[in-house]
Amino acid sequence: MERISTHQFMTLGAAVLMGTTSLPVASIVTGVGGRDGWMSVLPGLAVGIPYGLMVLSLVEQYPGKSLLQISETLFGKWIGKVIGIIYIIISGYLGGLLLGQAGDIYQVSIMTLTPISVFELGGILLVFYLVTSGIEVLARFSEVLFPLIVIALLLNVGLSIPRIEQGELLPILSQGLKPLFWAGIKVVPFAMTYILFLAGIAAFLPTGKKELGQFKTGIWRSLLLVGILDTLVVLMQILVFGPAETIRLDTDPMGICALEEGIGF
Amino acid sequence: MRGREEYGKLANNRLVVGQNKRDKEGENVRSWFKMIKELTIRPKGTRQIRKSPSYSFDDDLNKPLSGVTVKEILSNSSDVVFREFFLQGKERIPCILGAVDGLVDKNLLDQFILKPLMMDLVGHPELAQVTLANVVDITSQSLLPGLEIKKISKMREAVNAILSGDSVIFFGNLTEAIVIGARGWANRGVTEPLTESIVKGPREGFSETLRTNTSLLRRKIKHPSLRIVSLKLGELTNTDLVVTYIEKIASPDIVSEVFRRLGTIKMDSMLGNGYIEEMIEDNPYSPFPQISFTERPDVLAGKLLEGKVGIIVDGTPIVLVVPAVLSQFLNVNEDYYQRAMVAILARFVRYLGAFVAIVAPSIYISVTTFHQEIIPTGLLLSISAGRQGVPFPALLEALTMTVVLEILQEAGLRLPKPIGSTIGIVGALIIGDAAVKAGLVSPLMVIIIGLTAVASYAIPTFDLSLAVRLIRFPLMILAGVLGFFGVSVGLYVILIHLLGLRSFGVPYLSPLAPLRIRALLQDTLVRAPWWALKRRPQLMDVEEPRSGGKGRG
Repeated sequence: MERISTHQFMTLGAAVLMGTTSLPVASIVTGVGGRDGWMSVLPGLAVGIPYGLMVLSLVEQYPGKSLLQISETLFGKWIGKVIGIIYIIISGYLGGLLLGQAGDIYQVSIMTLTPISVFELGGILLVFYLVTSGIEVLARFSEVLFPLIVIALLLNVGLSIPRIEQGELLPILSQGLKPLFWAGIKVVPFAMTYILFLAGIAAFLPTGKKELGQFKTGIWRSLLLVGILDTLVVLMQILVFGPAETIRLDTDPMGICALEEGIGF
Repeated sequence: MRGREEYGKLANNRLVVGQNKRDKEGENVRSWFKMIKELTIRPKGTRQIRKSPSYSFDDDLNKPLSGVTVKEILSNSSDVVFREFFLQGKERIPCILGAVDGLVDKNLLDQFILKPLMMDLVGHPELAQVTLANVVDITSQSLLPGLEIKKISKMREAVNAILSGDSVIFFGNLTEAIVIGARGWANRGVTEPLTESIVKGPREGFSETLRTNTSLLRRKIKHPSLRIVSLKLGELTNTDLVVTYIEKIASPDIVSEVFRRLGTIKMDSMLGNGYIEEMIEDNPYSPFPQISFTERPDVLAGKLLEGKVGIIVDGTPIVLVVPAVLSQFLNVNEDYYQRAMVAILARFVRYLGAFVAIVAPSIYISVTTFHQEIIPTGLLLSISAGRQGVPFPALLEALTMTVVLEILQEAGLRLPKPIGSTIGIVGALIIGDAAVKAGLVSPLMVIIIGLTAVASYAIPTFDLSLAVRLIRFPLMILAGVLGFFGVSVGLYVILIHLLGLRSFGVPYLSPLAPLRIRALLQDTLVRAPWWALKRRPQLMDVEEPRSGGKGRG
């Protein structure tokens, strides 16, 4: 069985979380929490940490077994199968959602005349190639790409600084803490997709005592890292576009802005 | 009744014929499949290529030694010389000295073998005791002064020794003979290699003679741990081949894997390194080189000291080094001879050059075809002015120019130097200039293609620049069809392919992925100063070298 290293575990998890959150999160939290929505991203994602540790303890108790096998031993054959099917359906749904989003961004902002199915097909082919290459390659893929994504995001945020309008954030907490709570609830599902992913790769994790300890810090780190980056992204979008516009733009509008900024329009 | 029987028989026959026909068709289809399979899939176990025919003397070769038979076997070739003489000891012993004219040092044989035995030593007390029974021992122990002297007793050994350039003395009808190492053929000598030129560093390069090459290596690493293991490959060519590594530095897994893979080769001939390379590389369908080569002893020594394994083949100055990782194809030996600051800059330039060589044409195509909005207005105007009147779409324009570039490169490569430069001038300057003036291509396109060509020369290894040339075309087509999306899909596919590739068990993109942070910072994108290179590169964390990705190789 192929195994992945602790570092790969962290980057893979962070990449999954980043991929699902970075685009829609700003629009979602601002929609519920208004101009204070950015404060709810980090607490919302932090909910994932205890759940992640729970999955790890399952890995510890049933080393080398997949989610399906674990639930079959715990709940019996049929309930286990049902859980497996639900798991597959949810993962498929989420994957499709993500693919659709990516295709949508491409079609709306980059190549408007090309049908969206072309982008989706390209994405599906890539994913298939990646999956058939095995978990090792998948882990290395995230290891190579995640740092690049982080750099690109930071550049994005950094290059947008000249467009900041400071007034957009004020007044802080004008509605009290209640909207923050509801916005946080909206972020929790993203943390849960991370748990879903964790459960999926459970069978590929090494189960030594030292590694499990490192995995625990890995979960902390990836959630914290992505939480901070997402907070930055949301903050920046609110600062640049204002809350109303941020809610309307459910894709990442800063990419194009930053590109224009960089080239010097 | 009878008629019916006959009819039945006939029908039966027909049935049989029909069945035969069907069988034949089935066999045809099967043999077609078999042929396609043989042409496209590399066999997993033994790789038997081109069996050599059997000869009448094959049986003789396994028999006990006899000088007369050896003479018979080799007498058809005019270059094999047999000198017959008598040794006057206690008995008068008829002797035959066999050697290949041109492969032996005649002077050495005359002065130190024939002259003592026939003239100088006549009357010597040792020689006086010689009988047919003890002639081999006495001559080899006390009469012949040569350094390389060996006793043999098999026919095959004698024939191989003569054909490899040694000379053999047969005594009467004895089944033992003496091999004298007196090789001395014309060779190119140790010259500076053309493919790996260098400004600051040693100039000597390998040559075609195996022994010279191992001696050059031994002069670099004077330690008993340097292992030089000999093998022979090729049933007809009998090519010598040496596997070399440093014990306890090279991973034993990799060394044994090299021997295992070399052992699977069953071939009649072995005329160069390419034969071996294609037989033992992990993924035969990757455009990327998975085995590196060098012509320089200093490079080989450096690689061996990093824990790699070298394969030196007789008859070629190219030495194969395994395992290979991608980053090493962008490093040159001069990085280690220059100061670190200079080396870091040079490496940066090379990585940049490689990137430009891969994506420059496809980015130009996608920008001009799909993403005009990201071009600043001033530049956009000048580009469109340049493209005014060009009748082709950017993709076709770029493809044509790249193909022309490939033709120019290929044409110039094998021409004698003085004509080669003319090709460059005529091709690049005159045709390029005329094409722009005639409105066939835009000036910017010429600039892009020129930039691509120059950038690809910044890739120091020939193998990698070939790979870059290969993957440039699909990327250009993807760019012409889907713009940036196509280019990014292409780059992702290349990345996934590279991530899945292994060379003798070592992941091809290590130390980048799987990440080995120290090796990455120490000697990959940059080279740390020598005082900071405290550890050997950690690329040797090998898991199952046999797997070669997924059970391939």
